[in-house]
Amino acid sequence: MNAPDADLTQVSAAPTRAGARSVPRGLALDVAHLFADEAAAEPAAGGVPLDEKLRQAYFWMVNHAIISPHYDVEFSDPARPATTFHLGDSRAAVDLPTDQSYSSFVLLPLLTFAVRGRCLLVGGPGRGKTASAILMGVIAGYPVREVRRAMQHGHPQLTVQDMFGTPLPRDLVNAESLADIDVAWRSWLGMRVKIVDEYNRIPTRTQSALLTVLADGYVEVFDQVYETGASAWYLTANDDAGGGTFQVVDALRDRIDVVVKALAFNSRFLGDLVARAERGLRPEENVPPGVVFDADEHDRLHREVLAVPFPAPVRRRLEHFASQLELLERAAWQLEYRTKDTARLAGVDPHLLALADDGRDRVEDVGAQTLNGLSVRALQSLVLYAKAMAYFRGNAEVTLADLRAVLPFVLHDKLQPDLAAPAFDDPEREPLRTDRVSWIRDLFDTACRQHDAADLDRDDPVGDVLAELGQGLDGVDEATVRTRLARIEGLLARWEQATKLHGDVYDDALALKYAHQRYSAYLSWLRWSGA
Amino acid sequence: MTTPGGDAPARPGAPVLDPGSTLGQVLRAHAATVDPWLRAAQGLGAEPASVRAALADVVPVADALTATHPAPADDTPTDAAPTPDGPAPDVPGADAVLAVVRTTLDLVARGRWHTGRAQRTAVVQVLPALAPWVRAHPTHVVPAVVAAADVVARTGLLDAWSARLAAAPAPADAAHVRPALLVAAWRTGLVRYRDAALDAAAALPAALAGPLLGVAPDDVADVLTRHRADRWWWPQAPDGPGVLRRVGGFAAWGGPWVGLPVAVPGGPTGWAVVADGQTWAVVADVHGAGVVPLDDLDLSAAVEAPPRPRGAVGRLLAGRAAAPEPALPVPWQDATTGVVPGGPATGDDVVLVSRAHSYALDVVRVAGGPA
Repeated sequence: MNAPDADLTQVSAAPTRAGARSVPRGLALDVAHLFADEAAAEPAAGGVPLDEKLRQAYFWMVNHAIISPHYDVEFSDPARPATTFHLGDSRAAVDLPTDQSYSSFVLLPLLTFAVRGRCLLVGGPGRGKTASAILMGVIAGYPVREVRRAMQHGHPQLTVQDMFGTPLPRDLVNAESLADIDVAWRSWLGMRVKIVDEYNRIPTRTQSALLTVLADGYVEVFDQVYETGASAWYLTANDDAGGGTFQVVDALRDRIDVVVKALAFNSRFLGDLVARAERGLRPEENVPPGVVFDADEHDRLHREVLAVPFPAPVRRRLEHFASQLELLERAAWQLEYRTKDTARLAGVDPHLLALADDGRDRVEDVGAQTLNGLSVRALQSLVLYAKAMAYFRGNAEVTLADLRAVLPFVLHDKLQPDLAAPAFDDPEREPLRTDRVSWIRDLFDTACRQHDAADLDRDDPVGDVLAELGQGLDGVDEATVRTRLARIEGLLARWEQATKLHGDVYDDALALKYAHQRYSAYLSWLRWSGA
Repeated sequence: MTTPGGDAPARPGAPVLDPGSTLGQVLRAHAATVDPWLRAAQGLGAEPASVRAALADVVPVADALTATHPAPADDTPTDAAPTPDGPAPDVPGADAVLAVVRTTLDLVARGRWHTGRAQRTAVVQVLPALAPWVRAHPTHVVPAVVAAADVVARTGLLDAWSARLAAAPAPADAAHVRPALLVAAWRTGLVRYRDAALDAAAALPAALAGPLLGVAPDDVADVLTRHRADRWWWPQAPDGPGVLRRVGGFAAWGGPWVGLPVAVPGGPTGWAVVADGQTWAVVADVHGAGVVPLDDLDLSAAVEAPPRPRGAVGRLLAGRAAAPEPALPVPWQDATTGVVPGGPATGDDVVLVSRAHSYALDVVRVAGGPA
């Protein structure tokens, strides 16, 4: 192993993001700022705030470990709009963001580390997927050798026992019941960072066993159960479509929180590769102690991310977007079943039923572009990663920009495009058939524009009804209940005449039905009790 | 010693280090220490010619750092060419030279050894001026001075900072090095370090703090106490009415703005400026001034409806004419576009003034005390 290298192990002592909440917000500067350029391989006395440490880890990775000069996770200061240039016949936009922007290939795995989520790294061979995952193991404080040994390599003969542990042969002979068989568990199961290389080459049966570990944090072999605890997972695949040796089990695919693409190497940076080869330096063997998170810090990091508030206006945007995706008007008679899921369970292609829809603008209708809606798990992942992004950027609460940044990576494998939808027919939108990140971002932007057009931030009668209900029914008299019931019925009556059944209207109608039912039941109780 | 590049001949024109120079002697005497640094620099991509050139730049620095040491009786005469394989005599003050060499190699490896670069200037100009400091605490002083020089040079005050440090005695304790550099930076004009520097100065020995602050050691405690209460007071500073400091300026002449600034109240210091569609905070005291852009504060509305100053300033400006401003003790005649009292931090007798025909703001002390 090379001796630690002074430059490679350097972490900036200067705040990585001005104005972040862990950076003093006043204008006064201190001694740490004056001497910020001094090499600081060790964390400053008193410890660095964890969000700052996370940013330091990111910048160390992009500066020294992974050559990824991409800024595809763009942020712009609202006061300074991004400058855009258009190149080539396709008028490819070159946006110059005005706020600190990031490389998804480095940032998303790091956020996965923070929230202990499940990240799938996809891309061709030799793009740095495995190296990136190994770095995450080292940042968790494990020696490189241990991380490499613990990495599981998918192959067609990989069995459950290969992966998780084998029963002791002595017990297999002598045991009188399964409970008597001790299992020699594989050591990687207890690590805080778990790496499965080429997961789409794992046989289906082993994938199913892997599913329980990914989803529930335990593994079962011969009636013996091993609790693996919370950990960050990194899976790699050469083929985004899961076209490895085995088809990836849908349930396993759904458990993955984010999908990150290894972007193409920029040939302008070949010099860095040459220099690295000549120097014989391995970044994973020179990780500065200042960016390593021990178990306590990892726990605290996760807790601090969860504590980032998700404000109501941002939540409403997400609700409005998600509500657009599930409705399939012709899938059923009863309102609750008019969803794409109903069609799928019946074995009918949602696209065929969508063709029968008329009256709605199928180009503008966001829901017409997808074959499915969002699962609860997907929404949970979205909220979690939006919080992680806000935390990483030093924001006091989640902003719309944070949510918009993580959304394409979280929904990458969870939203299936209906490529026959009219929205893809426009020649300008043709590339969205293959560029799923941009497609999902465009979906969200369209939904946000519609949210603004409807002025839902200020005028949200259904939100008002639910907020009123949320305050509780204790002490509400009969006259008030009747007034509220009349208001609900009035809203539905108004829509009956004037509104197409869009996804958000569908969700709102169901919400009004829910509120109506709650009030009706309460009214019955009021009359019975004589209150 | 292994030279970078092995036996490859030096590039024509590349300086060759004189083995008889002070630096040459130190390098030969401490080859076992220096060789790993050279290899590390080369491993990071430092060109052998660049390393040679940088070390040639350091020759006079090494001479300056060892100048006051009496030559030992058995010292090899400098005009006698040492044999490459012969034992190299050690040089008094070698620790200081080695600290400079290590930092120089680090800067070369990081691509920061260029003419005009503040960190190189710190090594070749500031460190010789601070020879007693470097000799006293080489491993503390050298990296700290080089790191701080990069920040200080951005304000154009590197020479003044260096001179202020050189006028002070070397700290007796290595732990005082960084606080001393900080105090000198603030006293030179880096106003944003004021709070940290006041705390640091109070903790330094008066014999060191006095020269850094430019006051008698016996007066340090009193001066700091009084200055904390009034940031515009300092011994021998003018205390009558008039312009205390000028802030900002036109971008082409090194200022922050291309448009005319308007002073408005608000922001973390109470003094803010709206210019070029952006809000800035003004940070100022008797020693320096600066402006800091505020991304999350929009005070542009205040430009349209400037508040009327109250108290002493309000009385002075009551019924003020559009132009000129007769009540302000200023050496110009112009219409004011904003007059902002200092508030609790400074007192209402010191105001920030913007005017119709200047890209600079004036900090003005008006006659009369706070209302």
